[in-house]
Amino acid sequence: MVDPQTITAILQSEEDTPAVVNRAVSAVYSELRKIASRLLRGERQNHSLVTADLVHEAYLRLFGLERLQFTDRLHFFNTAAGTMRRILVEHARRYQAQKRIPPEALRPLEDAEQAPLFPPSVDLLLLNDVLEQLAVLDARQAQMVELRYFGGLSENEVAELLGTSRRTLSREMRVAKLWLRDKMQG
Amino acid sequence: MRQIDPDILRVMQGSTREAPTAVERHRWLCNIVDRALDLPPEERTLYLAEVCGRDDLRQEVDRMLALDSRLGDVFDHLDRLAESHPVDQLDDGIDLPEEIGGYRVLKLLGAGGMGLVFLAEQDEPVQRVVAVKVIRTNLDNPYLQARFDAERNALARLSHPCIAQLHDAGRSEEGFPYFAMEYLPSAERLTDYCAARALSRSQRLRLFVQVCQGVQHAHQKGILHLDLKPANIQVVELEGEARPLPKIIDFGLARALDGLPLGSSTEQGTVAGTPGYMSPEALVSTRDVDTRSDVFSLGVVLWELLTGKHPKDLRASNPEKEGQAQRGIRGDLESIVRRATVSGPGDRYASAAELAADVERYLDHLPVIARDGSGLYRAARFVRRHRVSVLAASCVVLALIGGFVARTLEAERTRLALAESEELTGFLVGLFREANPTLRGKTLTVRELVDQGVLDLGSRFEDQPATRARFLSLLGSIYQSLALYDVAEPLLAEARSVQEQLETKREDLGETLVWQGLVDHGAGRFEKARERFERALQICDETVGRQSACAGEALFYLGRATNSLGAIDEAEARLNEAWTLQQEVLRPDDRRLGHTASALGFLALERAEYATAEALFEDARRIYEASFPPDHPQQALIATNLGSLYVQQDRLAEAEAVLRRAVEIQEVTLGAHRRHADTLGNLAVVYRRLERYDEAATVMHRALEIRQELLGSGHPDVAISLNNIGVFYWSQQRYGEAEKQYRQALTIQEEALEPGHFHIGHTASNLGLALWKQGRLDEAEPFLQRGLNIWEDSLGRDHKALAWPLWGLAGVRRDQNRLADAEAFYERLLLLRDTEGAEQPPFNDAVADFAVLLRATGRGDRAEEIQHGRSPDDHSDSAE
Repeated sequence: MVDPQTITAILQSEEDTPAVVNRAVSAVYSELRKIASRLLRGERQNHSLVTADLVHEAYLRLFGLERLQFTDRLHFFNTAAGTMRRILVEHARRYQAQKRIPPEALRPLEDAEQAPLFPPSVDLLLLNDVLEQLAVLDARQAQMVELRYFGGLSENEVAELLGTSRRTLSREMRVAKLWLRDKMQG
Repeated sequence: MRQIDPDILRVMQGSTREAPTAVERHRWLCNIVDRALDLPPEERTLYLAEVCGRDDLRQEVDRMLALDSRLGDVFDHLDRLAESHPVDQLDDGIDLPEEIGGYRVLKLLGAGGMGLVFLAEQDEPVQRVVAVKVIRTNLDNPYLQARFDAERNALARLSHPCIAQLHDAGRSEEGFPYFAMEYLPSAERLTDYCAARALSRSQRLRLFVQVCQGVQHAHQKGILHLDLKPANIQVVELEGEARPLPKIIDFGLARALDGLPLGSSTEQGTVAGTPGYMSPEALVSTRDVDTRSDVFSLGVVLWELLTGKHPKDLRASNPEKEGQAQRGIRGDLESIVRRATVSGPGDRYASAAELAADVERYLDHLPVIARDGSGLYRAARFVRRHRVSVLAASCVVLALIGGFVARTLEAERTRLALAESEELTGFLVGLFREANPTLRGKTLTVRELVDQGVLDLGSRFEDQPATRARFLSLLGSIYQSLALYDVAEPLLAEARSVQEQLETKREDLGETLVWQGLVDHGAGRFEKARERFERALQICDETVGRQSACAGEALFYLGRATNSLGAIDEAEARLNEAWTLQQEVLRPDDRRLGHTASALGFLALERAEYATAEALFEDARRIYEASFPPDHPQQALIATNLGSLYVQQDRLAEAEAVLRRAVEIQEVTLGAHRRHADTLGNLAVVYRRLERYDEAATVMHRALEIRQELLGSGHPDVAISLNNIGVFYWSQQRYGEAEKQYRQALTIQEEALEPGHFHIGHTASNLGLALWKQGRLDEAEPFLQRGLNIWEDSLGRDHKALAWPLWGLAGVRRDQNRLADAEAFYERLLLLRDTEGAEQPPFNDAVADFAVLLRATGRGDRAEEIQHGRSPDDHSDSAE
């Protein structure tokens, strides 16, 4: 697996030789895979397929059309977490739309089986909306939540990335989660 | 006392002037909630009344606070997902391995200094969920591997309700050592558990006593924990159990991992132990510590359990003053903690059991020993007066077995002084049992050491006959398991004569009787053995009743003895009784169940009920795999039984594989042991059947040597070896040499076995066949007839083995030109033949002989039919 320092170095590298690009690709891929597998843990059904798809999709968005220039790890993770979030939300939207389609019009089986990514108890779309509201009131809290739950990072990692203490971060997260829950009950 | 956050103050003050912005209000809300969450309920209400001027804000705060205790929404789910993957302490993310050492990984439970802990699932031999701890270090050095293996074998022998069971350990595909342990769902660390439930002092102390008992069990097995601390003591509430159960985790891992090169330097501390809980001597070096180091750690845990605080400066400051300062720990309890944690190991409780006993005395309002300052002094003096050297011998035995156990025992010398105590004797019995060579180790050296033990015992303990008898019985039992029956017998006899006199300790007598029975059984005196076991069973009935492990064991031995006597039906009844009883009183993976299954399988095998035999042997194998280390002689034993089953079914490749594995295990663990000879004998049969005669001869003669050396030349097992060698010569058409072996075998068997014994039938028919092949027809006939009669009685008239004497009898009649008689025997033999076995000896030869006879008498069609399964009608059909 890739050392976090390495990925930062690669991401910051100015060089654009094929070797560096290859290393970057594999490093980023493996980071994304980690994120995806953490996000999708517990989804036994078609787990590997879904994980692979999510990674692939995220990678294409991050590096597909134009090469993103990441300034540092935080930048990368912010972007990756945001990308993951968007992919998951789009997935959820598609799934919802799909649910309204009459059964005989269902798409081929292998597609249909992919959803839902999050378990049914998690209303991802609602979470997404509420998280957007939070970002307006407290961008940093929203960032924490996004990194943690869409970037698949631990609280320690989030704290490290944001340059804050674990303790401070835990307290912030605790309140942010209560706020989000409250609004989701809404 | 309560301070209001400056932010809140500012907003509060601001709020009187103008409405805060949404962002300000959000910050305010968050700060209030954050602070309120940390307050106990009564203070929380006051605080909220103070800071929440505005109604809508107060409502929102209340809603959020109410949510705090609710479970089951989105973040709980996500947190659970995230928590199952604590990347915090990993240098990088890890791919969840699919499998570790045959365990299917379900998820990551946690990560610590030493490595990762996974939740994993096992299907075979039993289905269960386990916690697998993978140590992130590579065992690339053979010395370290050997050490690790030795330690994990020791750990696998721990079995106590208060110790998280180590199921298995090994090296993963990548070479990382792993430990598969009992999984403890929703366990809480000891101190947290007590705090969360506000347990009373006596509830805490009772938990603590249980912890001590677990530690004591391990010490008796020669294993130190060396990292006892609240985090390593988890409390579980098991279904159906009224009381919580403490479970000590990571037992002995510190020692097992000691010396292994672990990932980074920071991890070294974890392995060596946890400084706040380590004894002063362990802080210097973990190599010279003993059980009292764990006693020290237990003392610290006890302190923390009672005061809720860690005694950081316990050693530096005066514990007496500190103790008095602490609520909940003064007087006797304080003395107990102090006695457990004094810096000199010699002044501490010598064992966890002593510490537990003192805590129990406290709970029972009895004076505690810790208060009696002079007791230890007296004990120390006593030791100096009585160096009990028989126990020094046991030290050395144990040194062989457990490596560091000797040091443990060294420390126990103090306690030996108190040898009159029952508990101590139990301790020694436990230690000696561990030294039992059937478990592991090198037999010769063990023998020397036990010899020394006998010499040292001399006339010692004459004033304590019960103790002396127990030692004698113990030493006798070790000789018994070394198959040194002549040496064992007088020791056990002396023990028994003393124990017969005693009014009390009937169970000791029962135990000695069992050992005596095993000696008799081992020496081939089966009738005597049966009497002993019957008597032992009677004692079980009198002392603990029939519904007991004791009775189950006695029945098992009784069944085996009657089986050896050839009373198969009685044997089966006894064993079935044992099996039923043991299934009720023992845990499903108790090895004794395995023994009984194996013995019942053996019976089924002798009756050629192969499917039943295989099922029972597989049961036994599953139980053994769960309860013994992989290179344990018992695994070899069950492999041997399966091997003989395969041989009888002509599954020779499978037989060779299991038997060779068994031989390998035995060579290392048993040496010249009767079981080793049994397995070698079976392997020889396989080689012979595979026509690998050189290999067959080598293993066969080795088996015979071992048997003669161990058992004396009159033992029925020697007869089995001789018979097998005879068969070997037979298969090379060396009939004269075969005859000689069979005759020797038969002489022994006629002496040692009942006249109708299955084995006599076997040897007699073999001898008859060898005589027939040499043309000595008149001599051959009575042996063949005897073989046939015995087998008809013991195996039934339909058993395929009857084909052997029938073939011989038919051949003899044919050669005597009594053709009608011969034909009758051939026809009977044909009835035993089935399509599958038609090509097997002796059917192939017998049918060929019969066909010759038929053709010679002008019945070619009938010959064709028996040889190729075609009737004369078929023949004519195909001709058209």
